[in-house]
Amino acid sequence: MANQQEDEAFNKPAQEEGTLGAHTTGNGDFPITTLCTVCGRPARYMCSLCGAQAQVYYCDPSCQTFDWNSGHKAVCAGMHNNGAAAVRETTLPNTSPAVSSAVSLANASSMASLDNTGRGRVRQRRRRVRGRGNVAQVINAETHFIDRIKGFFSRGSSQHQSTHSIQSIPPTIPTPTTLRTPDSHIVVPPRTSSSVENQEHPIMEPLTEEEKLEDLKFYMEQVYLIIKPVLCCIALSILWVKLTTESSPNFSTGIGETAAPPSTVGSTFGSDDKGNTSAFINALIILGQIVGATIVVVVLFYFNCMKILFGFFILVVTALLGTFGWTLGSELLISHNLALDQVTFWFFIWNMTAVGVLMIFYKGPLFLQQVYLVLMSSMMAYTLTKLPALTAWILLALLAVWDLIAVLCPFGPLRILVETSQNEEREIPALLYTVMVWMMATPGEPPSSTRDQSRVSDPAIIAPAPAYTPNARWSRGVESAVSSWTPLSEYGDERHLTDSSGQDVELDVRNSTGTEMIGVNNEVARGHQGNTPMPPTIPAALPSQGCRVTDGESRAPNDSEEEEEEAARGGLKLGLGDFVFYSVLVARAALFDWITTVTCTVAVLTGLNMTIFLLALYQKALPALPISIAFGILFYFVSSVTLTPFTNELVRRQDKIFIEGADTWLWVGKNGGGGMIYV
Amino acid sequence: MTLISFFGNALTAYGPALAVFLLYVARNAQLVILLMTSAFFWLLSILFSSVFWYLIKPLQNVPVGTIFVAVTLQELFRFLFFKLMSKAEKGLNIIAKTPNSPLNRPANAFVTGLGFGIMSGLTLYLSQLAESAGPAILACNSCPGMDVFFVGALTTCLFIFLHSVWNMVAFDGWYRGQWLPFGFVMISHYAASYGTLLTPSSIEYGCAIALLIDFVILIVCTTLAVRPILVS
Repeated sequence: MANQQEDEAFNKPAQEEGTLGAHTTGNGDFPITTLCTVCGRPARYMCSLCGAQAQVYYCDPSCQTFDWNSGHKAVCAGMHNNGAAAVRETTLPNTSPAVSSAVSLANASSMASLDNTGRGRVRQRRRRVRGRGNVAQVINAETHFIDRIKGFFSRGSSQHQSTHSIQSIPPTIPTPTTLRTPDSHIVVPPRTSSSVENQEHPIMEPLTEEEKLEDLKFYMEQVYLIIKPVLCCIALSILWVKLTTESSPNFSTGIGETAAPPSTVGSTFGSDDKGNTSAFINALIILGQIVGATIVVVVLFYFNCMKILFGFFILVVTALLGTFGWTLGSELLISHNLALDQVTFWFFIWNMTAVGVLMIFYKGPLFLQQVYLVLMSSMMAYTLTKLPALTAWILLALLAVWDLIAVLCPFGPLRILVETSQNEEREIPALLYTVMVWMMATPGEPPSSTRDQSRVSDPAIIAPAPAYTPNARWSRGVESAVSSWTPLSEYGDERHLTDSSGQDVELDVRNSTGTEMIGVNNEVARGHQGNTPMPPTIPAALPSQGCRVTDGESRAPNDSEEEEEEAARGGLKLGLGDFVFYSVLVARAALFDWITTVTCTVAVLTGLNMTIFLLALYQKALPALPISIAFGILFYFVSSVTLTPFTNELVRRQDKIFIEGADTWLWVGKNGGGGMIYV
Repeated sequence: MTLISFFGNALTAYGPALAVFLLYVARNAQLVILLMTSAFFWLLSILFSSVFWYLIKPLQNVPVGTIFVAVTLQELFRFLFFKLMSKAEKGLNIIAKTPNSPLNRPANAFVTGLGFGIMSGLTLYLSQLAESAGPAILACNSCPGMDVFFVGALTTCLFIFLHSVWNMVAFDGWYRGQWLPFGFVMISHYAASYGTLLTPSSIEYGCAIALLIDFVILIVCTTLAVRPILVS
């Protein structure tokens, strides 16, 4: 039943497709003896645009990619026939029919949805060309930010129409994501020639609208997942600040301390006593330390001194947990006037530190690791609020600038680190992520087909995504193919997909160095592509259980939860540095009053949202601090200068006078009442 | 007593909204992001009004003027936010769990309204709430038997949901190209806000009247907001 429907859905668009392009080849019976035009090995693919006429064959996608870049682009028949260039490869029919049919099925149905709108088709072709190139091409192709945003929406809208229209045709198969009935595709017989044309090699698979959508959804989930730990960290920092500054006398003169001294611009800046220059110099010194630590880490990574690096990190984490734990603990005890003997206190600190180090560096449940990382960031943030106010604000501003430089400049250390790991196909070890100061995020994309509708409804699924590059695109295609014929339960474990607890966002703490970025961190990107794109070949990679093509290493699908955790680590990653400095900003605001606390929290979170949105658009490493810090600082000063007195004014109180000598307010008047005006 | 009054006030003010958030909004990433965006918009509006208030000295001691500026700016930002939403709506619909559901619009409007409300509740009431943890209470001027903080908590609770239904009514009107519902929202917002002027006044039972006004407006607006959904 399901098979039939899917077959129909498959054949119909396939035929339409066949009549559309210039690639009606009818190459149903190529001998496998055809040789690759690049390397001379037996060829399995051909340029689908040229079709059989051009006699260009390739053994695998990397050869075609090479040939395309080295000149085939200019002579490709398809380029001349179609105004909009589309580049495809066609798998020859005698290569693993089940696989190719599955692939094509996925493609076909996405075509089906697009065939209904002429616009969609044109756009799809355009995108296909992009899919051909490398990341840079993708980025260059859409330089203007505004254009990209508009594109985002307009793509969405056209997809909207097609979603509607497709639903009237085969109601059960609106998108490729629903094509997951386990066995149906295995039994699909080899395609006839018309459908063979459809079997593009997935590397050529365009960013279809569907995938765009999947990406959007994916990022949305990611934003949510990343917000939770950030919010936890911020809340903890606020809690520490509020708990330790409980020093206000219990019997003050009445309502709110905040109402008392009219806040001035100067007081909110904290420029009470010390000169600005010394604050600036202090901030510079701290920034210098952060920069130095970052550079050391990057140099160590560059020269592959992993052991030194790990030793360094272990040392740093131990020191941080110990000292910050001690600072915070003693502050809490002092401010609440509690007595605790030294031995117990040290015992507690020692335990906390030791368990934390073991957890982070050796083994532990992901959840507990994240708890520790959040705890550590919040304690670090709390300690940093001990800086004089002006120094802290200057430091935050400088950090935002440094973050921009480090991530975006050609010689920025973090950028070098990302590039090194990509060029040398050397994975930045998870441990390094865990302990480094900046973070990388996978602007990964949702393997579009790994989730079916029912899964999408699960709020917090993350799929560790392959990077947003043509090759990853390719591997994603494979995944979609795979997922369409692998039982959900089997592959679900691996790339997956944690439950809705939301704990699975990896906090990548790179420790104390303090810079942050969101980067493209992707096993797939690193493993298979780097600068020279070489996706694995489909046939090799698709044994029935080897769904894990993307990793280049085959994993047993039914592995333990470790797999799951590992997969969870593949998601969007925010570095410890970001956690810390977001929290520093909010904790600093919390020292002022509750209103600035709330506004700064919202500002920082909105900045984070925007950053992730940009990440989704640009698909490359981005600094995570600047937008949030800029918003945070702006909102802090505006709200502390104007909003706090404004809201205080809304609470009517008795008339009061300020007594100079006593430094206090006195309530005057007969009736002792007030009231709140709510705007 | 202080902790009791603190938690009592906190749960009175934010409890219902928190329940809605946890049971409905927090389960859906899209709604959470919408809520945060709208909260940001409300924050912008209140920041602008506070800047106006700060710069225009004569305004500072005239609550009537303050309310006028703040309410007008909030409604302006409601409109701006609607503009943003209608631009993003198609995208939002497709990535929604149920892309074609007719309930998407009202649901989004409700959640973004809740974002407005929660943000306004936090901004306007949170510092009083912190004060309510202190050892003293401040009697309400119009109802000496009541505590300013508790009356504030009730008002906050009502306003959070008022914002939600105002958003639903206004958005529904705009989607149909009508400005009348928005006009009603604007007027009822003025009414509710000016109504709270009774709380610190010396009118007897002023706070009860103010709360009653808010409550009646809430009921009327809820009816208006829900009716189009039931009808369609």
